[in-house]
Amino acid sequence: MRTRKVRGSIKPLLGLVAALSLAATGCSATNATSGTESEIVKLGAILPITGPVSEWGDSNGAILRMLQAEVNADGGINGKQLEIVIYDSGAKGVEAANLVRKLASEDNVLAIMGPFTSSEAEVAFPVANELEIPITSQASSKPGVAEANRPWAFRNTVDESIYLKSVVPVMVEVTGAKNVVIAYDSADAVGSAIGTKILPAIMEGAGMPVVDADNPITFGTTDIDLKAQAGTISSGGAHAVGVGAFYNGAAKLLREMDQQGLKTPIFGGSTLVSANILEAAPGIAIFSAGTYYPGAEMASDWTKRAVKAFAAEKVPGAPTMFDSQLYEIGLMYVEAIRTGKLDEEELAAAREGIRDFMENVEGFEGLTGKISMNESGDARRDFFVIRGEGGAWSKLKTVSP
Amino acid sequence: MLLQLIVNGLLLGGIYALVALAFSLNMGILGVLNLATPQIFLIGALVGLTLLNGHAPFVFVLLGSMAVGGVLSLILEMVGYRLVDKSDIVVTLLTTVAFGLVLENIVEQVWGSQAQFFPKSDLASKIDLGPVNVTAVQLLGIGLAIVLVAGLAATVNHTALGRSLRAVAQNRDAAAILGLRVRRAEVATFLIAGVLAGGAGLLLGLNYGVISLEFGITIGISGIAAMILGGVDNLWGAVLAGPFLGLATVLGTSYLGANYNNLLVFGLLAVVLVVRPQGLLGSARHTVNRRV
Repeated sequence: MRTRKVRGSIKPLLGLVAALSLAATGCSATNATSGTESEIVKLGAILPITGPVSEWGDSNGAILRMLQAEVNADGGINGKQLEIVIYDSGAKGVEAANLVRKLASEDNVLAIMGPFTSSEAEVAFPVANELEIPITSQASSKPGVAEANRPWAFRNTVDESIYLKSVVPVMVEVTGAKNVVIAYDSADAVGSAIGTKILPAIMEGAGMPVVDADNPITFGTTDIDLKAQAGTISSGGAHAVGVGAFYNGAAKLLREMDQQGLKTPIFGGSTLVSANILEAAPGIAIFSAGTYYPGAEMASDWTKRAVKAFAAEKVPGAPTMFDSQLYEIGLMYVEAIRTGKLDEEELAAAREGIRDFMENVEGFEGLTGKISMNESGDARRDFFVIRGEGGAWSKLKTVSP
Repeated sequence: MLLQLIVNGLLLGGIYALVALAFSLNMGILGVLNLATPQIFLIGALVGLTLLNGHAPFVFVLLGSMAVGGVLSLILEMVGYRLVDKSDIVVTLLTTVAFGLVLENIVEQVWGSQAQFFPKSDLASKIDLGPVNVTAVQLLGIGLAIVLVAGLAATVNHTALGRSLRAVAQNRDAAAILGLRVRRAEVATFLIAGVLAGGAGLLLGLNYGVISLEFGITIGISGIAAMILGGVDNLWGAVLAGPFLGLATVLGTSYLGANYNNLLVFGLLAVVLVVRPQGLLGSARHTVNRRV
């Protein structure tokens, strides 16, 4: 009887192990090159390949594999092959922090690209500081996140408040909006920052009434039912909706607005820019900002290569600014290693060298313009106010902050 | 506005009730907390979306979603229930978790991990009912929930299969000794639960026009909460608790904000369980005997 019980129990446990192994395989991916350890220069990346912003993580992965192939096809770095070790954080802060430790202590990478979101960066950056390894986010844009983690943390992004100060006047000029409502994802760090601090301050400065100032519309990242929120937007009669959320949450709100027959334009920061959101309600205009859009002339050659890489990996949609910003981080790291003749044999010195390079970046040739790093660890660069409608993003204005 | 919110809450509750019923069937009759239910729900929605994109007639789409849900649940019964030690609830819990993970990976590979948008349909257009308006799919959702629950009630109370289900719920071993077709009852339980989950997935997708991977977790938590609130040992508790939770969710979001929503919903759940630990319709007996 006992034997039978044990035999019966083993099968599901084996199944569980198999399933967990399968799941774990999907959670991490390591790009191995063919060289030996001494012939390889390793960089790490923490991407949200699964989870709520997986569209960006998927495309980021393809871009890094493209970067690795291009660098290696070009002779590598100082005669060594580049290897980018990629891990999936699932957009979870704790996971991102653990992966910083793994990349720094086990994989011994020279520097880390990512994590993606501000929620992740707020947890992962302090760990990178503690371990003294350069880390640069390609998307985190909540104000002050890099500044709070000097000197090892950087972001190749523009602060959301800078973006939104440019988006709002353009949106008003195009739509003629006389008032707005604000809706935000209360479960997300950058969404809350946009909804509770950045947008109210900008609206006040612009003298624009906020219809729901006393009781802003909120929703959660994983909420399904946004009928009440769309209904409140409808009954408020506002001319535009300021949205603090990632594209996935905003897309659900857009879809519900569309279902209720609303055509009110929405506007927000860089967190809205994605291909997926354009499918939600193609008839509703989205005003946003970013350092890149697929039609950007300066980056047309890179866009073609990225589109080809996406096609090869069956990544849906077009490249976004988070792909271009990640690629630029990779280029900066490669340049730092190449010019500083850095390698893993002097790991601490190599990491310090990359950190010093990042701190002093000035006029680095990015894909859509020159990049400089300010004293807060954030990029200072030109960007575009863009409009998404009818399934595509288009440029409305170039801004030089 | 309030009336519209109440209607929306009750209609959302209809979908919650179907999912809770799927959980409750497995838990109430077989003592299995089937944590693969959210993924079956998700696949039901995605299969329905694929069929809709292929311009299949709605009846075929609905039947397709329910059939796929049922088939997946039967596979789970075969690999994660029939062959394992059923007396240990941890074992069956783990097998359902494992099966759910595999299904989630399949979803990512087949449909991707992005939100998928349903094509615009007449079912989503508004129907004006005086002070409130609803969509056809909302009415369909609540109507289908009522039909399925009524059908289930009739099956449980008036058929040979129902007698087997009730017997298995009370004591599986005794039912087997008495010659009742226990295997048939177990298979039927998984099949019905899968059909309910698959159908509920499609209805939710149609209702909101979008389906996303994270919906599985959200709906799973709500379904389990409704099952507990209604009473784990009573199927009909789920039918009562689903709309109750739907109403609390919608009203909480509207009047308190989304950041207080979980506090309100699960706070209410906690309060009800303090007053009635067995749930709204659950048995007060300590041993779980009557489950249907």
